[in-house]
Amino acid sequence: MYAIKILLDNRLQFILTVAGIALCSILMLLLMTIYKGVADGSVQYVRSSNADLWVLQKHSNNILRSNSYLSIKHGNAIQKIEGVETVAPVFFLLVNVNLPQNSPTVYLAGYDPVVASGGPPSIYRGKNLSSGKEIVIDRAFARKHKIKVGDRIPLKKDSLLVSGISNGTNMFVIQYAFVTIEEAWSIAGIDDYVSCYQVRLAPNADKTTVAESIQGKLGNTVVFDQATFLENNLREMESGLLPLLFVVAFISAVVLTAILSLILTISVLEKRREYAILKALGAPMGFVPNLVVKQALFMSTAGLFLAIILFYPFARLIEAISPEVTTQLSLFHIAAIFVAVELLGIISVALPLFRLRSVYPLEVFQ
Amino acid sequence: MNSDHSISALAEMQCVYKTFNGKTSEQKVLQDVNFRACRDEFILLLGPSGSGKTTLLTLLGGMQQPSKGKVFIFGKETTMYKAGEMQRIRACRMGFIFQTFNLIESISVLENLLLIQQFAGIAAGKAKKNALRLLDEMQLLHHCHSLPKTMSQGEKQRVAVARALINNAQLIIADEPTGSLNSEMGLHVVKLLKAAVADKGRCVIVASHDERLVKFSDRVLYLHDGILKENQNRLQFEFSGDQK
Repeated sequence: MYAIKILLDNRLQFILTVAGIALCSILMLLLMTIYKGVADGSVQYVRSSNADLWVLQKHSNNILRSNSYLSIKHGNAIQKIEGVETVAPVFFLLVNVNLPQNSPTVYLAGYDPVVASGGPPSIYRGKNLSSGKEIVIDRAFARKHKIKVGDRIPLKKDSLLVSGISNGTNMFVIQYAFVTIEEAWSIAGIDDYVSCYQVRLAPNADKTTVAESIQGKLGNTVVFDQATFLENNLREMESGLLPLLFVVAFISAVVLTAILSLILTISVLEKRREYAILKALGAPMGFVPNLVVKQALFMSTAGLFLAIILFYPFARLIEAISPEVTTQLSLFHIAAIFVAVELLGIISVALPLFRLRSVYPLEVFQ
Repeated sequence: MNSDHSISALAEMQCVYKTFNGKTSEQKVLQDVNFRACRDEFILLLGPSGSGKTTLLTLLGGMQQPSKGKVFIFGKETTMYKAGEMQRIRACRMGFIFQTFNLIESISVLENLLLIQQFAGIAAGKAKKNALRLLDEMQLLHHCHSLPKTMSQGEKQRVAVARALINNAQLIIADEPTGSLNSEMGLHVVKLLKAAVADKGRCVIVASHDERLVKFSDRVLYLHDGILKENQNRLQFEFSGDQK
């Protein structure tokens, strides 16, 4: 308790320090939960697909940052391979939506609603596509641009009716939108091209055999099973996002450590005489350093608790300002941030402990 | 080890010199100091400011080492103590009283007394009982949960005395214990220290320039420019005469 009472001696300093630690912790927590939200959102389209195999142009391995062009003829050929049940063509293209205020870009997926593969993972509001002049947009996109079901939005020369709003289609920097493949061709001004085929197999068909057959017959293609393709997309997303998040998280950690270290050092200097008294009166060797370690752990834990309490309001505020930012907090995140903050707390005592070495019992006689 | 320092000599100095090296000159603070402090003694160390009284006390407290000569505490030369041993000695067998009290301001009076007992390894329950008993004896029980900053100077010094006595320390080192107190309070504190000697056979060494303490002391040591003189007969001690 003595360690804590020393801290509470200067309450304003204590409150400001805990607030600083809380803000850094919130930032780290936000980065982790945003990453989780983005990671899930970016690959939810692939994850929720009912395809057994994904067929792309040779040398492509994902749909996030990779060009793949196949023709309709490829689809017809795949359909004829033994063991193939359905073949769903999907055509991806980046398109600007011409809204009155701005022209945001969407990742447009043209698919065949009849085959029922390649469409949105789930519909949050409204319904899925039923005609060529309709569009399903992402929930975050709709919220950000205040678009409702029933509104019409202009894409290139067409004006499409928003038939539904989808979930699991937010990739943070860009969002999916869904139209029929014919509409996508019309918007792109090209016919008969697709980006990939989502292939469903007959119940008894062997994936490896069918994949080899496809690649054998169509030399310009590459075939992935669902798990591998999901992994490819996840890796692709991480390679673009993780380094940035790591840098920001690292800076937060450095700031947190610096704040704590600085305050503890100031505290050591302020309480120098008190620590000298303790040493003079026979405090055991580790007693005074232990006080500083306890103070660091107490402040970091207090900051962490404050961060957890404030996290939800912060996250809601950010989501209100930027609907494309989604957070997913889990117990794992809380455990990870706890370990990280306590570790940083321990690291931060290095400088104050160094200063403490120069506090001598002799000083009490001065 | 010298056989002279029997167990009754709680502290002893033999030919002790202490010098501090400045940038340009060497300052001799103590010169050839010899003295023994035994049980049942109230020793007054008189001397003007800058005479070396505090340095002598810090040497006795094992907080620094002499430049030359030997300092013995509880029969062992201070240089022979390991850091942990010296800490245990200070916690369990020595008590310190300072002019500015040096109480821990962030914690209550009771906690100040508990903390020092914690250093001596006394169990929490027993420590609390000891502290409350001593505070009662010092007529400070009503202040047990007070913070030192809310108390008067006299009360603070009584707490400091309680802190010095609580672990049954055998050697009490007091640096100007009456320096911040008025005459009445100063007298009260000195009587408490005198009683501590009579009660448990302790040795109290008081450094002061307050002549009024002479009549309470068993021995008076006078320190002037680092040189220690002893007057065994306190009645013959002429404080002003020594300042010539």
